[in-house]
This record gives sequence, C-alpha cells and structure tokens, in this order.
Amino acid sequence: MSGLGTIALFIGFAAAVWAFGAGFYGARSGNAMAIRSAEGGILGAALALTVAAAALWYALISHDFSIEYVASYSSRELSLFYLIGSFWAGQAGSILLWAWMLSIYAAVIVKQNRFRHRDLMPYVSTTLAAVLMLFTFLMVFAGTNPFATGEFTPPNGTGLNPLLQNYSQMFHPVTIYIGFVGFTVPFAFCIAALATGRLDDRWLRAVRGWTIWAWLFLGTGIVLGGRWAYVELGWGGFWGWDPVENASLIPWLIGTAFLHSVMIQEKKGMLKVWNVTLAVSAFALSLYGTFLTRSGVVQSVHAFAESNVGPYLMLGIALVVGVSGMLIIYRLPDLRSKAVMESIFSREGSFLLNNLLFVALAFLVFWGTTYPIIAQAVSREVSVRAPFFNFFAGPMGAALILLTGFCPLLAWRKASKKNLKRNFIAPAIGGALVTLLMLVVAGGQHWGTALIGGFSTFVFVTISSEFYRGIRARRRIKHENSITATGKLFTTNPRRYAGYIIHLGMIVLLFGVAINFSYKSDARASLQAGESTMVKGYQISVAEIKEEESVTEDGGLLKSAIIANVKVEDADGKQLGIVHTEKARYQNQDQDTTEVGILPSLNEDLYIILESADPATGSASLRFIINPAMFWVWIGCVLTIAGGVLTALYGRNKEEVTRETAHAFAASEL
Amino acid sequence: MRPLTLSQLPNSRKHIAQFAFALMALVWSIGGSFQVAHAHVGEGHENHGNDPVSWMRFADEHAAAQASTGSASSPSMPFLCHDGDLALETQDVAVGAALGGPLAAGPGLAAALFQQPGASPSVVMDEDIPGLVEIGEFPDVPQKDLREVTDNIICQCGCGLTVSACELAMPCSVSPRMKYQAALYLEEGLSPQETLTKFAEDWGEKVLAAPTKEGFNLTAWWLPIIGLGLGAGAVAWALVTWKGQAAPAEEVTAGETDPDMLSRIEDDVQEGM
Repeated sequence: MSGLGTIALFIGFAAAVWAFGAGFYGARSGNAMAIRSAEGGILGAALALTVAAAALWYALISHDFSIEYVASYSSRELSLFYLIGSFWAGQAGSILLWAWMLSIYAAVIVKQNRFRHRDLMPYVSTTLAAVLMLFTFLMVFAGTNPFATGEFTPPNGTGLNPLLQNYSQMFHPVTIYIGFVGFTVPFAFCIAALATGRLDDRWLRAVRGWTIWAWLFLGTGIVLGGRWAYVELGWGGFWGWDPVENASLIPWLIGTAFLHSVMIQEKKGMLKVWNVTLAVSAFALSLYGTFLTRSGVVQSVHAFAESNVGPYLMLGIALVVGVSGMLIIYRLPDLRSKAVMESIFSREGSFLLNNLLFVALAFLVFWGTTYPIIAQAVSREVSVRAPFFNFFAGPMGAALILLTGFCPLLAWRKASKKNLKRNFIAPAIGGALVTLLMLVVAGGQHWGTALIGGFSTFVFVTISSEFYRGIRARRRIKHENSITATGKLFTTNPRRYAGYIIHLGMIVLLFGVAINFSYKSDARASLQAGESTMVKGYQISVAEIKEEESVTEDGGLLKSAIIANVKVEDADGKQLGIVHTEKARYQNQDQDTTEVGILPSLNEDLYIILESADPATGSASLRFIINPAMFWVWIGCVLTIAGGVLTALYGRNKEEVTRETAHAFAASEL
Repeated sequence: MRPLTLSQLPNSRKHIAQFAFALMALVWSIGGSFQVAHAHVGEGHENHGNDPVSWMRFADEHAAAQASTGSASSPSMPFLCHDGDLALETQDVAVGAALGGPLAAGPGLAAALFQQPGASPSVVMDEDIPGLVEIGEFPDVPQKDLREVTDNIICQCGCGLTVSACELAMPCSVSPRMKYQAALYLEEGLSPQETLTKFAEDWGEKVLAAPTKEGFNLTAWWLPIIGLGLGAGAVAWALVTWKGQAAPAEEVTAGETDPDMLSRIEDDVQEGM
C-alpha cells in the first residue's frame, strides 16, 4: 500500500505541475487545447490524490504498520470510526487531506464551469493548480509523505491520542479543512478576474455559493472544536484564545466581512478594491492558519510538533500576497468605481462599519497570535492569551451585535428619521429595559454583560418584527395562514431570512458567552462513601467508585481507569441524574486523561471533574464548575449553522440561476 | 539601451515595482533567518516531531550511546518535555540558502519562528523547572484573589494554558505548584497585581497571560487601537468623499408605508407568485 500511495502522490504532483504549466500557457496564449489540457491535469490530480487517500485509509483499516504513519496514529484496538479518523491525526495525513480536498474542489469547479465563465477559467485552473502543487510538493519532497515506511514493522501501533478519541474531534479537523480549502475558490476566481481585467460582479456571483459553504464549514469546525474542548479537555471552557483556535477564527472573520461587503458591490457597484483584498486575505489567512498549526511555531495545547513544512507554507503565503498585491495594484485604475454614499444611516453605511469591525477583530486576533513571535525576534518572550483578547474583543463584539440590529433594517441610500423611528424605537426601548433589569438583578455588577443583553434584545426585537411584518403582509396580500406565510418568506427570499436566522444565532451565542463569562463559578469537595454535600444548590454524593481495565488484542494492558458515578439531586432531594466522570491512563500513549461528567440544563451545566479517588474507601475528591447559559451557547451555534445551511442551499435568486443556465446553454451551442 | 528607472515607469507599474521590492526584502530576510536558525542546531539532533515510533527508536539509540560513553544526559520525550534546540531538516537549509543569500545575518523573524522549542501537547517534567516549590499546607487566602492570579499566569509545563485551565485539563504537576506559590505570595500580603509582578520577576514575563504595558509591549496593546482608529478614519474619509459625489438625495420616507420595507415584501410576494 505504501508503494501505491507514494506513486499516487507523485502522479498527483506531476498532474498539478502540468495543470499549472498548461493552464498558464493557455491563459496567456488563448490556446484552447492547452486550457482543456490543464483542466484534464486537475482532474488527473484529483483522481491520483483520491487513490492516495483511499490507500491511506486502507492501510489504516488493514493495520499496515510497515507504514510509519499508520504505526504512529492507529492500533489494533481502535474502532473503525477512529481508524477512519486517524487519517488526519498527524501532520502528513493532514497535509494529504488538505491536498485531496483541494483537488476535489478543483475538479468540481472544472466540471461545473465547462461552459460557464470560460474567460476566467484558464486563470482559475492555473491558480488552483498552483496551490495544489504546493501541497503535493510538501508530501513528495518536504518529508511529509504519509506512506513513508519505517525500518521495522511493529506488531501493533501506538494508537490514537486519547484526547482525540471524541466524535467532535473526528469531524472538527475535516470541517475546518473544508473551510480553509474552500477559500481557495474565491481566491482563484479573484485572481482570474484581476488577471483578465473582467472586474464586474460576475466573479463574485460565481463564488458566492462557494464562499458561503467555506464560511459555513469553517464556522462549524470552530464550533466542533469548541465542543471538543468543552467535553474532552476538562477545563470547563470552550474557547481559550489558543493560537490554533485563533488560526481558524481569523479567516472566518474575514470571510464574514467579505460575505457582507459583496452585497454592496452587487447592489451599488462599490468596494471593488476592498472585495478583492478580502478574497485574497481570506485565502492567505487560511494558509497562515495551516502554517501556524503545521509548523510548530506556536505554543498550543493542540498544535502539531515542529516540522519542516513551515518555511514552504511561509513561502506560499508570500507568493500569494505578492502576486495578488501586484495584480491589485496593476488593476487599481479598473477597480476604481464611482462610489456614492449619501449617509452613514444607510444600509451601505452600516455595512462599511460592520466590515471595519470584522476586519479590526480579525486583525486583533492575528496580531495577538503573532505578537509572541515578533516579540521573540526582539529578544522578549511573552505570552498573549485570554486577558489580552478579552480586553478588546468584548467591546468590539458588543458593537457588532448592535450593528447586527441596525444593518438589515436600514434603507439603501439614506434612511429617513421616520424610518429610523419606526424600525428602532421599540427595539431600543426593549434593549434599554433588559439592560436595566440585568443591572438591577446583578446589583450593579457585570455592566458589560448587561449591555450585551440589551444589545441582543435590540437585535432580537428588530428581527422578530421583520418576520412579523413579512408574515402579516403575506397573510394580507396572499391570504396565507401564518405557517405557510413563514415558509414562503424563506422560499421567496432565502438569502435575507436565512441571514436573519444567522444573526439570531449569533446574538444567542454571544449573549450566552457573555453570561457564561460573567457568572461562571467553581467549587471543590472531598466526599467519603455515603456522604453528601451541597454545591451551589446541588446536593452531591458519590454513588460508586470503581476501577476498570481494558486490554489489547494480545492481552496487554490498554487502559486503566478510576470511575466515579456521582449522584446529583436538587435542594429538595429530587434526583437530577447520575454523572459519570473518570481518570484514565492509556499505557500505549503513556498519558493520563480526564473524562468530565456534565449534567446539562437550560440554565446551566454542572461540570464535574474527578481529581482523585480511592476505590477501597469509596472516597473521591471532586471539582465542580457551574457553567451558566451553555445550552444557549450551543443553541446559538446550531441556529447560526442552520441559517448558513439555508443560505448556502437556497441563497441564489431564481433569476440568477435562470440567467446562468441560459449562458451555459448558449455557450454549449457554440 | 538605457536602463529603465523607477521614475520612468507609469504610476501603476511603479507601485507594483515598489510592492515587489518590499515583498522581496521581506522574503529575503525571512529566508536569511532560516539559515541563522539552522546554524544553532546542534550536531546529532534529529527531528522526530511527535512521531512516537521514530521517537522510541531514537530514545533506544540514545540510551545505547549513553551506556557506551557513560554520559548522564537524557533525551527529552515529546510528551514530557522538549529539547531546547529545534532541528530543522536539510530542505530548510536549501530554502534558507536560496532565499537568504548574503543578507542572512543577525537574529530575524524566522529565527524566532523556528528556533523556539516545539509545541506538541506536552507536560514538562517539573524537576526541569527551577523555582518550583513543593506543595505544603495550602494557605487560607481569598479565592477571588487567587483566581485573579491563576487566570493571568501561564502554566510552564508547555501546554500554553493558564494555570486555572491547566490545573483542570492536564495531568500536570506544575500548575498546582504554581498555584500554591501564588497562594504563598498572597499570604505574604501581596496584592494580586503584585503577585503577578513577582511571578514575572521569578519566571520572566512569558509567565504572564498578557504582555505587560511597557516598552516594546506597548505595540501589542496600541496597534489594534491604532488600526481601528485608522480604519474608522478611512471610513469617515470615504463617507465624506463619497457623499460629495452624490446627487442631492431625497430622504426615504417612512411611516405606516415605509417604502423600503413595503417594496421588499412586495418583491417577495411577487416572486412567490
């Protein structure tokens, strides 16, 4: 399997080189045969890399421990689910995953555009092939070949890091990568538009769906990563401003800014320079995210170790920025549009502010993540973690929430005073009341959270009233009942109403985060068997302490664990549940892990960590974290993702689809 | 033929040339730094990453070498602690040499990037860390103050988490001892802020979860604010400029028949027909 995989990687690299060369020649000369040949090269690379991916999966599932990667990240004891996930547990597999996904994206783009965007496609193919070349090069020549064989074949592999044996961690890297790789598509079309000088909004329409999917997957990956941290790492949090977390957040923020600003170009023909800059930045920052994770340059709880792919990725980023920067400068005269802005109190005005905040937030995260490296260059060793980011992100997040309420309801061009009053007076009163109420309840403390509560209420009321008015209008004009009218709102203008769902999800999420940040508390208790104690309104007792061992196929010790089953009752003695928490040691990995127990509810999660236990006496030392509003944090994430899915699936206007189909048909007739 | 100078180029091309020069200088200096980074790599080091199979083999070889030479040094385990030098492989040298050229001198960004110890999920053996105290009877100090300190110092086990988080998440013996040290300082009568300063004196400022607000670190705090200010300035400038280009606009009137809202809903209704 090693030979087949390595050969497939070589063929993938060769096909990418061919596609790049032929594509570039075809783009410059207009030679149709070269252009088609480049597209063939991309399809060939996709086929070769699919074979390589299949070969690695086969090697993992068949326990081919002659391959070092398989021996390092899998074992005979792993379930099929985790064997499949071992694919991306290490550096080399992750690079293969990146390259394989990119090749699939590129192949779909080529097939999808056989008769569309033919003027852009030569440069699109060339750009996609160039990126593919970089990643296949890393595997073939830079020492990250996942099929490299060891000097000897061990009887069993080391196994998967126990921290990674969690369902969300299985999907988290894949979704993050689909997002990262997805930003290659807008980048490729952007380069094509710049290279050809066709700078109208056609390239934007071509990539809008791809960008939404990339944004959606990246966001989903971030959420899954947060969920993994929460249930698996055992520190009671879901976001720690870790450099690797930040690496995925930066392109997501830029992608969000891009998705908003393209609307201004589509509607008003403005912000062309800004949009190409954002498209390039989103991709460059995706590469930067990969660089941070892969190079070992940052100290992170979940970065890969040091490796030699860093310099090549750095070079790739420099080339992306360099070539794109030169093209943008070259096309500046064509990118300038006659911009007209009548008032800041207009849709386009509020979008400008929202872009400013998104980009500023992205810059903040980028700067904070990169600063330790810069400081080290001037002989200072510093750490930049949560206190730094929270200092800035809180106020900026609050401002973004407020804008979320304003943006969609302001009229294009200029909103009148009446428009402002009609749309915003009731939400503003609602927001002010909630802020006041929260301040009173908190005794004047946590004013930041109270403010975010008020802003969130403001947004909630504006969105609700928008739905209410839409439904009322449909009922009056079309005589539909409320349910049908609600459904029709989505089907007739999915982009707008699914956008509202995303906004709703974001405010629920951010409000939940603010509540959690302010009202989180913790406690400790040591309990003997049969003893119970009150912890923050919960009556806690240890129901059972036991030891468990599991063995490998050959009878060796795989894992030994001390398990505590903790009985939780409310203050009135009503049983709320038995919570399972454990400390385990994985012999193969020489690593201890903690499995936390979580008792969720609408208000708060009771998070229980076993610190130590003695099975002989039935005593245990437990740590408790009261995590308020976690349910709403996850609901906010689900709503945001659901809105994203609706936008991605149904976000194109019927008119656009019809026009594009007609173009495709006309082109095929030529 | 006379060589073309920058001033003779048309405007957009001149900008491209300037941009290209700046970028080349950046890449050149980064490349040069790779070379410097590699110069620090000690002989006999191999890059084992966090590949346990490769690591085990290396550890065995190292043990055999120790046995034959009587050396007392021990190799560092990727999951326990890091070796100080990060070995870069030969390809890095090639890139560094190709890009670095004669400008490669002095510590640069990439030296900082690639010279620092690796960053795998790790726990350092606490005996390797000087200054850690043994945990004794835990002093009775205000939990709020203690939390303020442990939320703002980084555990030195290599995990990169704050002491509060590491204590819960990692099987680590460093964070409880750092927490105990913090409690001792608080018991001595230091305030949380003074305790943080004491930690920074003992361990260096890398122990703090945020940069201090002095010296070069001021750039860390001020740049985001300056960036935001410049951005806001650019938006204001754009608004003023673009407003000047606008024809006198009639206000979109609202009220019961807000045309914007009405037209949006009516469009939807028409589309759905």
